[in-house]
Amino acid sequence: MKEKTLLISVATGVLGILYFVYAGITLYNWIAETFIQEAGSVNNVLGLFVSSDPGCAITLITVGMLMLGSLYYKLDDAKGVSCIFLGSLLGVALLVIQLLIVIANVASIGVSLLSGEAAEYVLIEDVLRPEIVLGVGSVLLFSFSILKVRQITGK
Amino acid sequence: MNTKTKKGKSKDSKKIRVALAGNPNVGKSVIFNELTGGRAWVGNWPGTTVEKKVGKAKIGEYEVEVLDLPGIYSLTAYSLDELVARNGIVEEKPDVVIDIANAANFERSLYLTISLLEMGVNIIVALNMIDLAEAQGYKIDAEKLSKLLQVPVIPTIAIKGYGLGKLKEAVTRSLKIRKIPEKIVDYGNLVEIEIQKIEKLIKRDTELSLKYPPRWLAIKLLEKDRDVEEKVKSSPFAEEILKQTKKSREILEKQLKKDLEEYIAEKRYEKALEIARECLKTVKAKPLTLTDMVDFVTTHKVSGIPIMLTMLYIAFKFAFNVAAPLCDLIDWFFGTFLYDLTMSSTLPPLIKSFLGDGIITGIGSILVFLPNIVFLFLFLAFLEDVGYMARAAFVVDKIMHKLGLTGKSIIPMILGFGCNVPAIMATRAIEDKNDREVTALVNPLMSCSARLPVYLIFAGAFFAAYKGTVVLSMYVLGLILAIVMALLFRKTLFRGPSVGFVMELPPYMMPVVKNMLIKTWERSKRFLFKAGTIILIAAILIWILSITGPSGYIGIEALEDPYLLEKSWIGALGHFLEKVFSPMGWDWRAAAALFFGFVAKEVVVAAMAMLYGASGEEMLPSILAGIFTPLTAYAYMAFVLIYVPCLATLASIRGELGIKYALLALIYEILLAYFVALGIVFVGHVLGIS
Repeated sequence: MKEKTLLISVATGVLGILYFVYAGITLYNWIAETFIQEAGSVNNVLGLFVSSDPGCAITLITVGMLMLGSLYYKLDDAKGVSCIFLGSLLGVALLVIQLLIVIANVASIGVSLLSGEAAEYVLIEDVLRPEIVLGVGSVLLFSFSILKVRQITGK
Repeated sequence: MNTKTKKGKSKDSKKIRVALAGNPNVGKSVIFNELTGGRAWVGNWPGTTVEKKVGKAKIGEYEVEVLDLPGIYSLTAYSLDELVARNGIVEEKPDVVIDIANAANFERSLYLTISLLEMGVNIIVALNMIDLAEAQGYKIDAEKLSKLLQVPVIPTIAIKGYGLGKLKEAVTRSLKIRKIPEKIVDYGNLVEIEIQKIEKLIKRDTELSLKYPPRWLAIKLLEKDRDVEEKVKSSPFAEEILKQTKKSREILEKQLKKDLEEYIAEKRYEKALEIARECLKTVKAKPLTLTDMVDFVTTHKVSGIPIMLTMLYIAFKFAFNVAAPLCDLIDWFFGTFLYDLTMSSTLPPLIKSFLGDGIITGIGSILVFLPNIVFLFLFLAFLEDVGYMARAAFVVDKIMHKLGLTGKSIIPMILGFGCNVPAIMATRAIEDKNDREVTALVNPLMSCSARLPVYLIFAGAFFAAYKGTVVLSMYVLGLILAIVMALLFRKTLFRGPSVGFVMELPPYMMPVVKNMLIKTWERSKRFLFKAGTIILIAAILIWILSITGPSGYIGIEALEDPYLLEKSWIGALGHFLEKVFSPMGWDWRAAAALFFGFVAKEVVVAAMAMLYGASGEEMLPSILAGIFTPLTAYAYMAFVLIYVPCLATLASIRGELGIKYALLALIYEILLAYFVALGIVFVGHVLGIS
């Protein structure tokens, strides 16, 4: 059991740092595009497409902060479990929203074709996003956190 | 405890009146909806019902008029919501009052129950949320409670419909045999003697004592209740009663050595605690709940604000990106299908232009945003019903409290995200006059749904990569400006101490889809209604003002020829306003569109669509991209957020605070909007942003 918790702690730490890294790059892209036009933005890091949306950066920072916060409070403590539960839940929510956006974008193509307009859409850029790829990791942590929450609340 | 048993009123008709009373966020609106099949606002946060609502129901053989009263903790007359609730009982004399008590916060609910019993009303206690009480580790003996209070007690879980059948049965039963305890709280010999003296005088006025229970009047007079004093003043024995009250109060305060009002409230609490102790059974130690665990993070001083921003970001992503195909479909229907169909018809050109350029372009440019608005409201309804919105309010309250503002403002402010009109009405729940007036005055700065179409047009044209974030920034800017203005008002025109605020955080719950859909529909239908009325009329007006001018009829060609359009009434107005807005770099058409936003903010988009000759939503952003820069577009969005409240909001401020304050709101918001927009352009230029 201790080994499992240690493994989860390591995974949480790595995932939390990755959320922070992608948040940093997203913020950099936004600053580069808005304030320093001559600086180039970074569109692809480790095979994932990074946006320049500062709002997205805030959400990635929040998830990363909660995941690292769970390590600060430790995973065998209720506070640590609360952090990992909320962090991974938000990570999953971002994943679900991004998947819905992919579906919506595909549907928009359908509408464009219906109205006889030419439409272009690069699916891979929407799928290989930090929200989706890191979100898969969040799903695993979320299932673990549910077990821990049940242990603590007795339900 | 003495009990009076009355035979139920024999009525020719089987029409009765039932009132729902209870603490805030106890489930009154859920029970109201269940009884009436109605659509009262249901929110998992306090302060949802501000005014009493009325619905119809059929219970057994009775035609029932159901009154949903505002959530209150006591029956004093300090805040308007308590007064509305109290008068709903005292003046309208319901046959039965269903007192919805929160089993998960039992002692506090009992205080109101006791206050209701003192009013001599025929009550039934619906002991709601018994499942939550059990989850917290205790059980309430409903039978014992019923014996102690001498009224029927029905355990319920309203959200699941549990116990509602028994509640209805209890209503019909209580009509036949009404049990009204005469004296629920014993205030001690000293006070009881004085109560009896006042009561005796009140009883001399038969009319007054038939209208209101004499003992209740006597207690309220001793509590210095202004509203009751006014009621008594109409009595021919007023002088004697008030004189005796004053005398009794002096005697008692001298002997008790404390404020009489405080003493009476303490006695009620003692009684509530005594009853609670007898009925509560702890079944297990209170375990840590999921709500406790989640609250640790959502209300934490470090993570609270980022989580709130994340929730709002997800809401905007859901509303704008996920709803996009539906918007595209509506745009295609109005902008291409219906417009082309009209323009290719054999109707006379003037009629074709009226229908196509006027109505279809005007209404279509607004209705295209309906899916965004529905999706946003759906997500906000989800956050409310889960219980998160109360936490968001709590987190913002912490900041407001540090700034010396009342936390009670936050609920009307968050309601303002939907529509400012009900939000301004919700300020009635704020006891302090200064706090109430300031909250109502700054409420129009909260970004309502009417501004969304403007944001979306500009965000789509200039900030497509992060549309949601730019719109979110408008909401945050509105909130910051509202706090700053509130602070400014409190330091200048509305000086005085701010009243404290204790906010009850409801437990997290699984939302009920039906409630979410009702709430979404209730909010969205305002938008649809406006599209079919105000916006339609405004679109027709703009069309007429575009094809006519100081020289008379110009012709429908003006809608396609910018040179001719400049000679129209709108052209003249736009050129006049353009001078004022030239530092921001907006052209005369953008300036003219702002003028029509006074009617309703959505009209800005309809006016732009017509003035820029854009029949489809997709056309307008591409036209705007050639006229504005990202910086001037952002300044324009900020201006639309802040400048003049719409007509309905102004009327609401006038209704709540008077014409003086409505004018104040109008003037300060125009000035604030102008300087904020100018500031954005100036700072942008300094930072080298185009």
